[in-house]
Amino acid sequence: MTQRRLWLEGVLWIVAYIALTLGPLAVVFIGDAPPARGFWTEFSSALGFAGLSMLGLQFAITARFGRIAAPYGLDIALQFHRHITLVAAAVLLAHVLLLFVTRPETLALLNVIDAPWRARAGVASMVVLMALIGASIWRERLGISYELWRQTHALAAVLAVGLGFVHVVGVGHYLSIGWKQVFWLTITAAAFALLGYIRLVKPFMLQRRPWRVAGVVPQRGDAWSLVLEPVGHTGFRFQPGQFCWLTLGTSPFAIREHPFSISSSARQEDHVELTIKALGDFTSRISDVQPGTTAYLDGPYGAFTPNRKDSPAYVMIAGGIGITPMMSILRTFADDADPRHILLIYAAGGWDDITFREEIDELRQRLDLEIHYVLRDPPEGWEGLTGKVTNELLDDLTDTDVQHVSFFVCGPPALMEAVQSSLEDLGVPLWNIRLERFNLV
Amino acid sequence: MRYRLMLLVVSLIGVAIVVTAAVFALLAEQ
Repeated sequence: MTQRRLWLEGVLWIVAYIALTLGPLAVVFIGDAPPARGFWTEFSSALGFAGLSMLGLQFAITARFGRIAAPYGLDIALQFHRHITLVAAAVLLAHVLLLFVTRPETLALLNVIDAPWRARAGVASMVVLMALIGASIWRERLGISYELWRQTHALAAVLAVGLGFVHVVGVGHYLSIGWKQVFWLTITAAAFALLGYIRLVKPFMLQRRPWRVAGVVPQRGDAWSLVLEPVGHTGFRFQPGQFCWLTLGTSPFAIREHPFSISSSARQEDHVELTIKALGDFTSRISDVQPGTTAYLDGPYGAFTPNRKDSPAYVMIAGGIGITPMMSILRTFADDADPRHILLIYAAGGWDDITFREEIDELRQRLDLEIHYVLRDPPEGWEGLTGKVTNELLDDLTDTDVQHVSFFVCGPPALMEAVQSSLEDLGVPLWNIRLERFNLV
Repeated sequence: MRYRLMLLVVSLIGVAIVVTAAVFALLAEQ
């Protein structure tokens, strides 16, 4: 797909999102109007309807439709999902607070014992929504495992939307007309159908395309490469730098999948390699995975790839395991005998923690590759770079033609923020900086 | 770039929703 076509589709999806958020609101107000209740009450109502539409649309954003995610990259689509949830929550909170402030008698609706069921449904919907958001933002701090979070997240989302629908039908001010009720029921049903697609249809499709663990290769820096071979199918084609969701040793219906970057060359079509650092519950068990274990891969996804925009040269800045997607890019460039200059700045802990160190050094034979390691804990006698990837360091290493070179940055959030800010100071145009944010939850 | 554009789009959508809701409220009030 061409760059222009991707931009066009990207804009169209945003327009569609706004239309689908505000369209149902228009339908509510079309036709016979019930008696007016004053500006603030009507404003509060309109915010409530818009907020509920936004919650319903969240199911479409997380359904991983390739066509919707393609213009932005799935990581950005999921970041949109996170941030727009906060907007929806703010809109819904404003809906409630406006009522309480302008009509204090409505505070009595918080008394769940005496309140009518329509108010109970509304309160319950808000409580579930806030719990869902809190669990997502503070998942690690609350000690909630990724698997438990994934499994309860969808359930809580269905409850929040379902109770919200019960609330608007119960209040009935604008939905007393039959066809409007049918319209909102259809929207709610469509949202749940999307969830059904994610939780039932997609796992069913994945189950028909199993993979097998062919090897578990230890790497430096407490990382492991899982080598996966397709079983009874031809696998998938991917672009270097993309990622996929991995389900290991269990059914795809169990919703125990985790996103990982592909580290192998896009030219090797008989297998896919994912390199995983032992960081959490799931990842620290990777070393115990036995060859022959069945796996399922949902992907490929992501826009962290040089295929989307041509560049005369590349600067890649990796932090720790952030090297993984860049390894895929380097291996693919090597297989293509790509002659372009690549500057790799790789920040790591110690000399022995540099994942893929030996292979990266070997790739110098096949690529025009300049490597600079930046170590936090350098060994004695180390004459290379130390500390953090700073403005000065980037200024020293990059040449003056930063306007036309593509920059790829992947690593811990603090490194990415610092590097992005440094690159902007150096005059690198924003559209030439590509970041991979893999801290989804 | 993509991330910042996304944040901008999220902010604009938020503003669009509040403004549209206010317009609907004004129309409904009359």
